[in-house]
Amino acid sequence: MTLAAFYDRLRLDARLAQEAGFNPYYRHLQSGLNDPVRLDGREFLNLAANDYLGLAADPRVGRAIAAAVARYGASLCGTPIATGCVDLLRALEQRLAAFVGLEDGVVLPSCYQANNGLFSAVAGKEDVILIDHYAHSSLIEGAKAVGCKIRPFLHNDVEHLASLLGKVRGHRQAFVVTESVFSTEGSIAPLAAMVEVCERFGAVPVVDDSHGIGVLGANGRGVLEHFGLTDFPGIYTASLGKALANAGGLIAGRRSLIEHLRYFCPHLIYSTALPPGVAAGVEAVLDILAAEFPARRRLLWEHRDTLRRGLTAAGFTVMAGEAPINSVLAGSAVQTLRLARAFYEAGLLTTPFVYPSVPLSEGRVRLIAGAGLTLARVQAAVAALPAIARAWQAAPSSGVA
Amino acid sequence: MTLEEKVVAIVAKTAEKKKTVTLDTDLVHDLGTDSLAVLMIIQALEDEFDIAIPDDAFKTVKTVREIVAQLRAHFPHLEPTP
Ligand SMILES: Cc1ncc(COP(=O)(O)O)c(C=O)c1O
Repeated sequence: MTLAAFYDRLRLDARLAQEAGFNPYYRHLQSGLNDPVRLDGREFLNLAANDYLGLAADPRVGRAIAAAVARYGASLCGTPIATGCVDLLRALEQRLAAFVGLEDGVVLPSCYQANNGLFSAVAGKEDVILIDHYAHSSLIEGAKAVGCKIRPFLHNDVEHLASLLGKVRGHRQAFVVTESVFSTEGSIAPLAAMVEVCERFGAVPVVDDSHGIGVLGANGRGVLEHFGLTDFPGIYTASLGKALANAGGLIAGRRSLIEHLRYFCPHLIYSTALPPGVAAGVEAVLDILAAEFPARRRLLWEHRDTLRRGLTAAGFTVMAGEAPINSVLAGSAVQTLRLARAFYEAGLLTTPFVYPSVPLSEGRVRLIAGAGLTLARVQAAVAALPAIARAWQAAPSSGVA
Repeated sequence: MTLEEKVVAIVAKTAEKKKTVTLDTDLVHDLGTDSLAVLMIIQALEDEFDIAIPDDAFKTVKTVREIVAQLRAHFPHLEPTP
């Protein structure tokens, strides 16, 4: 045992980035999410951010944040259980819960933290957690932290889930965990059917609606509105850092659940509360949504369809997702980074996913064209796609048809 | 059904994509099996044979054939001796 050996073990393997001639990770933007964004001294069309509705750089949101900071300052420098929670934050929790159609809610500094802390607070070793095979890292790690039996079920497969629920025995409580929108492919979980199965077996459904809130449903209220689930009996979580264009993690559900979390979720209790400015930012987004959601949603879907047609015409394989996301299958990790590089060189910022975020040899590059972009800009990107496909094809063994 | 056939069927059933599975199928390279998928296979075997597989029994397993070998090593009773 030596210190040198310890630090040696941490050294990253740079071969992948070298082979692809590109490292897409931890790039530092030199601007906010106004179009175009600046990176490496150049201008880009941002198809990478989760700013679905194009509100992250909206001046109205910025003004609301500035007003809250003027009133409350940057932070309350306290945990929510102490004096970190301002009236604004509590009002936001109630508003968000009502927005998604649930009794009450609590907001943590991030949804990763929310998902990580949730399970240990509500489950114990004597329980069982059934979880979608492709669930987000935050859910898997949160579930593992309980130390109970974990039973993965096949991705979005209600039949498999039901057969497992029929088999598990000897536990106190079963939980069934999924995301609403699986963001690396854009699929939507069959939540209504899953809730039905849960009710049949007395299991608690847990859904992470991070990519559904502000996106799905006639009013952008997320997956519960999308499926018309008016009396969702389970636990709902969502990131406030995607369509809601700020940061934070919501947990919502029955009042007794939320009250319990307030006293038994260490990730909430012992972490500095969401700053007032951020709470005001989310409030402002909710105000804007009430008036502008239909128009923004229309643009978001038009952009997705425009891009999807262009990608398909250029010979790319686009995954068949139902969410406003286009994921292009790229193959190996090297091929995936090379494709991200081809987009990058054409001035398009995208998100590459490689194993273990996605299955081995199913690397993909995700494009989200938010409602903040104009149709003309998206069309310009589409016009560049054939050349991008050719540049990628020129690299050895690409997957373009 | 032989033990081999049963294991092949279980691995095929717990794969995300319909793929032909044989004894020589490599879990990671051919099926993209990740850690949760390994868990799924182990639990499906436990359900099928009514056994409790020790946590590290499958740590070094690469192919379906090796799953069968590990099962035989740990649970000789799974097959009636001739
Ligand atoms: C499905 C899902 N859950 C949780 C998170 C984490 O949310 P946050 O960024 O608020 O921590 C993300 C991504 O960031 C996500 O995609």
